[in-house]
Amino acid sequence: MNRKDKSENLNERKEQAMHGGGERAIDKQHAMGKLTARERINKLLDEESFHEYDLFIQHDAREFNMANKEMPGDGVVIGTGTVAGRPIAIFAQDFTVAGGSLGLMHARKITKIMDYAMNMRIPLVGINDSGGARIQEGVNALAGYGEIFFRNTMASGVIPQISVILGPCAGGAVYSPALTDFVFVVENVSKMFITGPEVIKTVLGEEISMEDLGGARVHSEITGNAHIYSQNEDECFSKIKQLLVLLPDSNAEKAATVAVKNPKPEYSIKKIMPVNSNEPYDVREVIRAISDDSCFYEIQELWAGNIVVGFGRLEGNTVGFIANQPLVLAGVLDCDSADKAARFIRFCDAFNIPIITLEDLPGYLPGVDQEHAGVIRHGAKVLYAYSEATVPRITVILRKAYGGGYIAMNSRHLQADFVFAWPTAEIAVMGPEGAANIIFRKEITEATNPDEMRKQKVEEYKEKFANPYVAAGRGYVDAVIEPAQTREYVLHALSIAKNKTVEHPAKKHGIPPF
Amino acid sequence: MENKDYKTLLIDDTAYKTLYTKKYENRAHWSPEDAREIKTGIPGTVIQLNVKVGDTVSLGDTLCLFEAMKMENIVRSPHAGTVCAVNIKEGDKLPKGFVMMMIDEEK
Repeated sequence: MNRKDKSENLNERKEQAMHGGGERAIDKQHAMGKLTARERINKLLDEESFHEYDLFIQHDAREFNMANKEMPGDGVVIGTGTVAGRPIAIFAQDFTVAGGSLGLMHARKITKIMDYAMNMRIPLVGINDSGGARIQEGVNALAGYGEIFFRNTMASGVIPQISVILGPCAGGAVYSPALTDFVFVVENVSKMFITGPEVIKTVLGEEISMEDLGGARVHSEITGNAHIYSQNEDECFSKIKQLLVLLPDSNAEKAATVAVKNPKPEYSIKKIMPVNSNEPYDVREVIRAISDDSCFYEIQELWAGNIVVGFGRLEGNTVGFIANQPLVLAGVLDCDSADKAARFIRFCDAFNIPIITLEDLPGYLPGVDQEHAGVIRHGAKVLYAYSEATVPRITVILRKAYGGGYIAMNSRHLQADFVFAWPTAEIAVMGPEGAANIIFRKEITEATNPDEMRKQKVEEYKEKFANPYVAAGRGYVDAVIEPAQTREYVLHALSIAKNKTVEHPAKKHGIPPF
Repeated sequence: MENKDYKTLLIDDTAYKTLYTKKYENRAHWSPEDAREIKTGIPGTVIQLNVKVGDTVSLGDTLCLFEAMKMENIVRSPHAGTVCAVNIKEGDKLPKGFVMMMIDEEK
């Protein structure tokens, strides 16, 4: 073969391999409203930046007359490229080839790109669209999953890992996304579960659709397994890009600084807080009134809405916001909101992102279901995550800071770096009504008019304790500030905390209440 | 904000105006257990029934065989007493939490 023929030969081979599962399979994929693996990669990456590896890999299925079967690329595409000019590693399962099923070489391609991502300290994006383990490859398929899970765990807290569920992701396969930092799902496309509807029907006699069992909505609203919900694939890719630019490439770096922009004028911090302290407001308005350009990238928006978590920017640098949300369940802490906050705190801490806590909560959610679901253990995660975090931690108490909730929300006692309070803050052991009913029980029951007496005592308690000055008097609050001064105080605190250095006692690792 | 379906949440004697989550609205309500009730722990099929109303049973006596998750489970009496109700027959397919029978506890 001469040189020209060799080049032609390469082109032929490439063309064949790039065609995936062939015309019909690709048409079928499109008919399901799904893009192909390579189309997806190109949507996410900067134009012409994708470099593919292991295109000519051969599958390893030898049994069940599989040896001569063609499976281009063994059902997965791997490579590197850039997003907004920054490098990332990526794999995308190709459903058009043997249903994206995972065999030995398929898994080896994935672990190869994971190793590249780790060695080069760049983010990893994994696009999941697979029928599951390739049964014909037996235990080799299982081995492949295990090798992936191990690498997900080793990479955790070192490089950002993003999973995108763009098709089925069932059985053992779900544990790779579950071990990563952010899981993206798309309406009608994503399906995730351990045991599918068929098994559930046979074993339990319960009939449920894939969508109702493990669709995008379910994981975004009910389970909390997903972090970002999108209506379609295009929206999903644009949201991944927005997230990637907010994150550093690895834990050895800080997220890139961008140009500083003031918050948009329509978010006026003065107008947000209602006069009556039992009335709700949307705490995201406060975040937008503080963050550069009013930017706020919310994580798990549809799940455990009583706490709001996400990324914003202050003076061009990425920060993590954690805020109680009075609009939902009065902003209480419960099992789900504690899980949501604790995990976000640990992500921020691992990737050098300062944490800004906006506090307004009346306590924990009362209820047998909560107690029996282990709210003690879940609630403890918040204490653990804050206490352990060594990134700059700043708290602004907007309104209620009662009891155990006050301690948990990055209080001075958990070694917050700065604690500020608005004049509307009520830092107390519990709400005035509850406290007055306990402290003045005798006076109230013995009064000729108990209701009148209760009202009077509640007012007395409010006057004396429902303010920031008792806590400020002990130094638990560093400064009581006007709401309008919030951004300025937080910016200054961050500039002071820039070189914060805190060392933990030597240990292999702590034992958080997982 | 004005058109939202606000509810009331009571915490430490204070009523807060707020929204509920779907999960909160669908939460399971708790009620005390009736010690007489023998319930299914998982869905399955009754393959053998060993008692009838009026029978006296001892602690650990086999009440029925219940097939679930491809396993034949022996349902034993949690206490000595008298069978006061039987709500199943052989071959019945039962959901989780179904009260199969009731046994009055011996005083």
